[in-house]
Amino acid sequence: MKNQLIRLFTGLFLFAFSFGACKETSTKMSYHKDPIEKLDSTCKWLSERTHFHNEKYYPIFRNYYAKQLKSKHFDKAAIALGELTELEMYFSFFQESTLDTIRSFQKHYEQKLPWDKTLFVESYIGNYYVNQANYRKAIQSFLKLVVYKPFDYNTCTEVAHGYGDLAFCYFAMGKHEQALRYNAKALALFNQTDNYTGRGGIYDNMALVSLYTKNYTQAEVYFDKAMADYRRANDTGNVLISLHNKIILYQEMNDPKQYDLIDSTYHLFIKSKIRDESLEVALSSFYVDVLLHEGRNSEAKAVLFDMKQNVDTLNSVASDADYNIALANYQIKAGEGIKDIGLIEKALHAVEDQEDYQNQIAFAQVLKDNAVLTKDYQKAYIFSEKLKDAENKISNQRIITKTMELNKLHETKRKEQQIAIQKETISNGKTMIALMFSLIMGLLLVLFIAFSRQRQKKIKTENKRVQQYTKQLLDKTEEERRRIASDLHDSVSHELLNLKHSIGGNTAHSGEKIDSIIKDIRSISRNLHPVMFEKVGLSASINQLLDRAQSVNQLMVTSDIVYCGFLSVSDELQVYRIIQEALSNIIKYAEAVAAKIIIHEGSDELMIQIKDNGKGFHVAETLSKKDAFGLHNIIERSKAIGGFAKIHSDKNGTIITIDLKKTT
Amino acid sequence: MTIVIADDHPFTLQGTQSFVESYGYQVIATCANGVSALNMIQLRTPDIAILDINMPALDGLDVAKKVQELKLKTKVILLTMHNEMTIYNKSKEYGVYGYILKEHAQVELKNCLSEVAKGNQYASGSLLNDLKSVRETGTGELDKLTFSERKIIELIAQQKTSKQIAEMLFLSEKTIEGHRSNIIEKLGLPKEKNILLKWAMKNGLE
Repeated sequence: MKNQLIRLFTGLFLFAFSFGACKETSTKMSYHKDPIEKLDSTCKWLSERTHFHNEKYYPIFRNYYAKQLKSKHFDKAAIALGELTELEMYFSFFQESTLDTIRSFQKHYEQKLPWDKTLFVESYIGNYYVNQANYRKAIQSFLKLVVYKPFDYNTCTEVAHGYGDLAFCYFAMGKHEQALRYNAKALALFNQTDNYTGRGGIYDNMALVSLYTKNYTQAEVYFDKAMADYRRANDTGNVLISLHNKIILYQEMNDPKQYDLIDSTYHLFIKSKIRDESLEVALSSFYVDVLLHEGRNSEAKAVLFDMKQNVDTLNSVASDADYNIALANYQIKAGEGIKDIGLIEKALHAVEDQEDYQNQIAFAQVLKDNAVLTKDYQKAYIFSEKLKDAENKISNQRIITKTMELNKLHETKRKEQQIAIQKETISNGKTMIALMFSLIMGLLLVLFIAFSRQRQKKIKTENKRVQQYTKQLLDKTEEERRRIASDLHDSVSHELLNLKHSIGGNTAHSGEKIDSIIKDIRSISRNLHPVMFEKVGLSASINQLLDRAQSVNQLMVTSDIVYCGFLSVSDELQVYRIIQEALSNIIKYAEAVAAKIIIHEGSDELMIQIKDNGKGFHVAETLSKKDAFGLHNIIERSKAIGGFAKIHSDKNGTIITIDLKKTT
Repeated sequence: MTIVIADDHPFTLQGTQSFVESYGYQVIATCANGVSALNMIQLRTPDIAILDINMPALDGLDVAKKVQELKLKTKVILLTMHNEMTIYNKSKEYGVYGYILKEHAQVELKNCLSEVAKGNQYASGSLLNDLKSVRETGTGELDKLTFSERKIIELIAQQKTSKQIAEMLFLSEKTIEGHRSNIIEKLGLPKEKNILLKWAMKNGLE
């Protein structure tokens, strides 16, 4: 495992600083780099990449910078500093003196300028620490950068880089989840600009994340995307970086294509004459591997020698590590054993502290190989443990990533389930409510029915009781009348008769008188109760009644009686009374020529009708009067015998009909 | 001629017995209720039984009914206070020979006994008079007619047609026609058109 990853971002700030106006052109791409840069000549000179390795570069910068600060042109000072830091970052050529300058600028002048003019400050500090493999510190700086809301090309690019750098830091620390998140943010911002280099860098980084999560096909896709972007921007330097990363991919895949790719990339780099020490170191270290792999030890030694010089100038932990590992590999391969084990061990401790597991693996690997070579198996064991440890850490990170992904999926699924359950619960609840509601309604209905039934039953019983009472009352009355009639007729009449006999026939006058009294008593008795009703029967009694009505009251009454004796004697008596009452009413009020009594006993019912051709009356009105005793008498007696009286009356006469259902 | 007498009024019973014996008949038993009367009749089968109607246990009508059912040769005479056509009609159903009212017993009993002894029926004159007595007595001619017939002739006098009369009296037209011819016959009128109307007008029934 190689550790050249640090180099990745050094090239990303190629066009970062360009103080052009921002123009919105399309919806997809909002910000464009203004091609005409309104920089003064010195700044323009300082921004040229080719001038960076000029001996006068730093003196010119210092001179210009000091002059602008003195004349309080802070904006121009910032531009100059920005150009310098950009190039340092591009070449990963971080100088402590520049960091001091930045810190001093930050302390004294940053506040005097708008935030969008000083974004390079945190960016440089962050990248400085990235270069030192101090990702925690770097992250702190980048986080300060990304709080800003971009509003033009420049700010957009800066913040996008900030996200990209954050993503890289997390990636380097094995935190792929965060790395992907920040990469996505960076990509979104770069997509708003035409900064292809920047976007390429993000693709590069995403490719690396894919690489270390073992998604090699995805990684290759991203690398190709990155290289396409770089080529579009005509950025050979970054194309080389991307190629370098692709080498790492092939190494990871154990793809033999790696040797050819290393060889071609290394020679492409040499041919391009690009001065980039860190890239040179990285590619050289690969090349050393190839040479050692092919057994070209002496050539490897020569490359290592060149490397050493670059590493010394670079002041980069990554480059140091690259060199040391390459050297160690050579020394192991050459059978010499690592000469300066303390250096590598120290480096291992350093990366351990910084949670740089990638380099940790690389260092542990060489130390283990060395221990095996020197037959120091105890140490070999220790280092293989450390190797395992680091690998575990990385794969732990991978596992964590995987776990998180799985967890996410699980969460989603669980949420869906929860929603489903909730929906079900809700629908269940609804059903429940509906059920409860209908249950309650049903219950109420049942209760209501039961209640009204009870009520009806009660009313019915009440009615029945009233009816019974009426019946009893009527029967008792009849009984009483019968008794009185009988007493009058049988006792009083006999006494009178005896009196008449005892006086003897000599006083005819008193005899006649007594006869007349007997006659009156007979009449009273007859009115009280039809004589020997039980014996004579209903039909004969009624006909007797009609005869009397005809002879006494001159009312023509005919009858049509078909009666087979369905009713009890007491009920027959009530029928007799009803007819008596009706006839009495006709005689008193109707002024009728004739009346007719009809009794028809059918198989199921008994019908009693009394009709006359009198003047009639208003039924409802009459019934509501207090003195309508006769009519009420008819109605109540009808009810008492279990029948129902209907009274119809108009100017043509009156018809009273009593219907009685035969129920036995 | 043997006679049994039954009455729950001892005074009346005694009186009746003395009357009957004074007419020369032999009273073989007297009873105070219907049951003993029936027993005595069954036992002795007298020629005539003089029964009161209102008696405890069995009344006179019940006894008469039993006698008829048992086909006894005893002839029943009802001696009663009931001046009722309904009861008289009922008694005829049971084959009773005589029906006399107690208040007129002194006058009617002798005749009744002799008629019944001959095998004839006898009903109290005052009984039949009961209904007639309340009748209006108009022209002698009208007395021949029944109440219905008189009603009809009144309506004829009012120039009502048979159909109208039938409707007014709740009778059928056929019944009215029947009454018409009865009336003509009773009054001895000639068979000519509107004879009843003419007769009614003439007799001032309008």
